[in-house]
Amino acid sequence: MNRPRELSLSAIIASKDAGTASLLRLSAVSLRRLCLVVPALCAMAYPPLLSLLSSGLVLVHGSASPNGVIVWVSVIASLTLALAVMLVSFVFGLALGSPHVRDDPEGGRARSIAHLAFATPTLYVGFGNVAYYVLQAPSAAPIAWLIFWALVAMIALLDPRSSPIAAAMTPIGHRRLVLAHGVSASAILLLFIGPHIVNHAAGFWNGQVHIAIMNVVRRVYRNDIVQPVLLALIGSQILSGTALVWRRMRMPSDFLGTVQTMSAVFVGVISWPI
Amino acid sequence: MTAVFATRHAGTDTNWIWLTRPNDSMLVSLSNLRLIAHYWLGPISIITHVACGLRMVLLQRDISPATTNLIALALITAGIVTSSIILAALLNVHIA
Repeated sequence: MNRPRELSLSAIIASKDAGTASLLRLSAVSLRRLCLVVPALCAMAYPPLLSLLSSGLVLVHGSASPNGVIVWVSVIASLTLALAVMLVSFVFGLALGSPHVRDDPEGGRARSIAHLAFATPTLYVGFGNVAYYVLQAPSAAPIAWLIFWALVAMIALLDPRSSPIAAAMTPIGHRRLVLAHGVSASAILLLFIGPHIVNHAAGFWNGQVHIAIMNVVRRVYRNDIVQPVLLALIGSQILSGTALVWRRMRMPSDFLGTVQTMSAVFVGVISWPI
Repeated sequence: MTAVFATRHAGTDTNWIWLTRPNDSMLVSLSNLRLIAHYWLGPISIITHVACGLRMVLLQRDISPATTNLIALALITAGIVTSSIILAALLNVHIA
């Protein structure tokens, strides 16, 4: 079933060959493990590539102050870079979610890492915010980022036998958690996210309209009672979402199923207080 | 969230003016591009996740996979359009 000479992504990832008898088998195992760290390596490369892009844009424009067409060039270029990292992570996450690797602890761990790497653009902003606002050391962010992803890549390369066993969840417990997650999400959508997105979209009309709408909707979500409730609900979403995604990491997934879990991790990273 | 709470704690209102100062655009410098993807992808990820969650609910209610997938993809597309409008506004593009 496993063919060491097959070099397609799915075949490499699906390979569970742990034998050491032949050189070809060793190569297959090494190749597979290297493939499993690709999303982590892409995430690691994101800040240096973004810096390189910035330097190139400043060089071409002649100044760091953006105006005119360079604004849109920088928008398209930075989004392309972010989407490239996310696309690689998505492809690996999707391939690792195929039925061929569903019970493989090494694949499950790499699949989780691919999900985290998918959130790279926002996770890196989180690192920057902690470095700037909490540690008051902005230069610490790129260094901490490299160390973080180096450790994550090492986790992917660890022997699969040392992988932790997934926490068990009964079907009834899972159903209740899904229901609670959905009800809590609906409340957050109604009280905060829906009005907040409409409010920001209104900024397309002009800044004054945005401010006027903001002053109205803030009366709801910054209310002395509503605000703590919202924060508690967001906290519960993070906890229940983590448990649900963790469970899904051990199950096969289709395209939209992978979109769901990857967007879940992305939302979790945004919501996390970093 | 750290940026918002730290700024609020310091007594600054985290409103549109804070977000787009000083030139009515969130892009202050070409040396700091990381916020572009962060702001664009945030609303998309939330709407996408809600769309996929709705898809699961509809599938459990025996709606056909073709219909549920179509609804989810339509919502995701709407999320991309909405987020692009928000980003354009943050970059000082307005219709009035």
